[in-house]
Amino acid sequence: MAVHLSGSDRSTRAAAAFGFAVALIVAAVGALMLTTGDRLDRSGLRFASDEVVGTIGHSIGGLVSRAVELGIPLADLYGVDGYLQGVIAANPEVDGIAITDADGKALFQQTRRAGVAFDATVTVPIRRGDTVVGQIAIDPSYGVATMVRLRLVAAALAASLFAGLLAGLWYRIYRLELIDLPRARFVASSRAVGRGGFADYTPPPEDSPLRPLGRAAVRLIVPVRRQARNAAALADEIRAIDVTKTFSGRVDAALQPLAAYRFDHLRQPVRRHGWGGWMALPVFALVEAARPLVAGFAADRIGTDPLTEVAIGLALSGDALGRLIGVLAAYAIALWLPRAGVVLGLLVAAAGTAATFTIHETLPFAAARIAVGFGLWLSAWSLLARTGGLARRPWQGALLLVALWGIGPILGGLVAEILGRRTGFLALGGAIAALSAVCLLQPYRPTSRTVFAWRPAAASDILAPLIAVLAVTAWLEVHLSGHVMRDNYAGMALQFGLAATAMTLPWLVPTRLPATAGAALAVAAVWLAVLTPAPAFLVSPIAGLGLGLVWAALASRTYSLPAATGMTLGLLGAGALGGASFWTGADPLTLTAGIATAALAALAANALISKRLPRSAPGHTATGEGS
Amino acid sequence: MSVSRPVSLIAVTTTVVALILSVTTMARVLERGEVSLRDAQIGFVLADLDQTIERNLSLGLPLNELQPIERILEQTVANNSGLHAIEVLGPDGTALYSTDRGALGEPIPPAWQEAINERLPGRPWRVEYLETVVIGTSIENDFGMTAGWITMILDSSVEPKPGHHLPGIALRAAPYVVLGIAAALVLAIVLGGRIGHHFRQLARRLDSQDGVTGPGDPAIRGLPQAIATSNRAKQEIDATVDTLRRIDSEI
Repeated sequence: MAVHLSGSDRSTRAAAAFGFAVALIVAAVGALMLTTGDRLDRSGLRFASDEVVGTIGHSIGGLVSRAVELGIPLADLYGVDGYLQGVIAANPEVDGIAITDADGKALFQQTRRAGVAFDATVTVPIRRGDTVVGQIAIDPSYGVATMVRLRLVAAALAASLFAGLLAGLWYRIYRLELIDLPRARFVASSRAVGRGGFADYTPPPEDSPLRPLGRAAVRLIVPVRRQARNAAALADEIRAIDVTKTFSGRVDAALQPLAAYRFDHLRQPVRRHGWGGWMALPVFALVEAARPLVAGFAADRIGTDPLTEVAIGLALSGDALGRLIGVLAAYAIALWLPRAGVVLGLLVAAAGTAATFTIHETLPFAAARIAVGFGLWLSAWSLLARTGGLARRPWQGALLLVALWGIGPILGGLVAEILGRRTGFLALGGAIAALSAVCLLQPYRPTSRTVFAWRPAAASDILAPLIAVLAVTAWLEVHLSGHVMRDNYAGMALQFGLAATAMTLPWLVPTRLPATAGAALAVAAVWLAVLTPAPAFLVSPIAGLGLGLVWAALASRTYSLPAATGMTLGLLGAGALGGASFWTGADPLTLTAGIATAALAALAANALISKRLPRSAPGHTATGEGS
Repeated sequence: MSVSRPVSLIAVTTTVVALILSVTTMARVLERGEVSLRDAQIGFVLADLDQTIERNLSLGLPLNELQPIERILEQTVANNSGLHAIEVLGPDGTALYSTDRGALGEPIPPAWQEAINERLPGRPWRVEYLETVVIGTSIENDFGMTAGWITMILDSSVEPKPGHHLPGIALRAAPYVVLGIAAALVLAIVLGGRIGHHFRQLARRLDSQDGVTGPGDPAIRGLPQAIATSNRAKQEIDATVDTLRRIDSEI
């Protein structure tokens, strides 16, 4: 009866619609701010841009004036075109420069792009003594104003995606804990009553919308139980005074029909507190919030261009290495010290994140990323091992993944835009440390100890998440964060937001595609970026959708050790391939696309072969795919 | 507890947090745009002066004998508002040329020297010093050796204060933010109200033991059987009690 489980499709759709509505509200406010009244991107920026261009004009004018004062006619100046072209190339705020005579006739003119109309808005006179002999006319590009406009739009959209994902996720948790699970318990209780069990009724929690229904159920069964107690009391009374046992046969016969029912109370009350792991969710999201900043920060530790790939590779690989060690540490201590594992891991991650504030070199940064990766996965896997929540309820796991990969990075991008990247690391580290204390107070109900078992896994359980994470990391982190959008944190927040929003889509439809299809889609997104000038806002959602399809297909197996290993190796691979491009000279994205395609081919071949071979483990799915 | 309350909490909190992030980010993006333009202007002036001086050095002239430099420095200061002074320093940090005559021959303050020592290779150094912002770059000869420094001393007012756009933008955003929060609240109240109404209606149907059959909320799927069993149990218990009372009266 899937309708009663925590993965209620109705609640999923309701949460998606709620998140969409909240996102629309925030987007509408952003749109109103950007389009009404004096437009923000024009406030003072065009004036400042004209001032920059004026400075450049004065510099050129001074140079030309000195040449003219030496007696060289304006029209006969030598090497002017090359000089103007050099000035244009070095100054993005300038689109074109012309030197005209006193009548305004252009003697020299250079533009950034051939065939574009020359629209000079800034002019500087060229003087010989007190006489104006010509002028420098400059066509400004207003490049910074355009960049600011795009970033304002990106910030508004990223904030709306953040609101939509956060509201949808939070509302889904609300429905899960206070509607879906109480409803499942209510249905179980009402079925128990239907079978004659009046004892094990579990009322919904106080703050659940099902409370009125629970009270109605109480009104239904309480009179029955009261009457049953009366009957039992009466029977006891008769037995007490019937010392000769004359009526015992008739009493037993009268009570016989009630033997089909159970009225006794439960000896232990059913515990109904929510999953303690929810409180760890915002902290995990904060740890992953630094993701859009990592590659760019690593690249900026190196001044030389080719070595930036090595720096990015070290940072991402360090993160992955830390995660591998974190899983092993969790395996070693989590079953005995689960709460310590959660809190210790978060504190290590907080220290690693905050310490970045003081780091200026590549290797210390890679070490900090090892600490962050170690702390995050020690904490996450300690939680998993103790509660088994995610493996038992894939929906909870899906929420965790969305929080980690979506909400966290959007927040991180916006925080970096507000505070600056370096201070952003410090702020995130402080916030993680502060919230870690909350996790210490949460109850972690032990429900499962099997999550760490390395069960026989299909190749797709390891390779599909590996390939998808490899593709998504190479696109979002190595390519966008490390190169194209290194300083554009609002833009990075938007790209992560688009990918995360697309990640949630596979859970909204009942059909589950094979995990391999998701991995193939993520790789296709990278190829799309390599082979075509497709805009980032198109590639990011496709890559995110691919990763989401993999997670949805693996469902609870996403939170098993094989899939976790695959995801970690994907991250490690993205870093390593980025670094390898330093030696091979290949573009990191192309290299990643090629390797991922080869891995995908191997996965497909394995699936074909395994279909032809007889199954060795009865009951185990050969492909391991499907929900 | 009303259902609207937790749903409102979710809707309003996420809307408020997102709008605060959005407005603050917008303010910072505008500031960064201004900083970027100011850096472009300063960068151009520095690079232009640097090239001029290095061309003269390439002709074999020593740095302390470049007399036309003074006029170029003065023109540059005149053409750039917010630029207090420009100094050309020797390799030992002594001012060789300056638009501020009093600084000539003086060694640079220790704060400048510290900024020079900590500079990143190939990038201008920068220090805030006594209500001014000082930005400098190295002058290199043909052999890549540092022959001196050019420093620009700017009024600190040209450096946008962090957050200076925020009050204005927040004021401008306030009516829209209020509108957005109100919309989120309405959404939550409508949604919470519907959920609450739905379950209250189910409770009424359970009380009246009518309309709990057929398709509907999954919560009521077990109810028809539960109601039937309850009613049957009630009758059987009543019958049992009647029998027991009869026995009791016979004793």
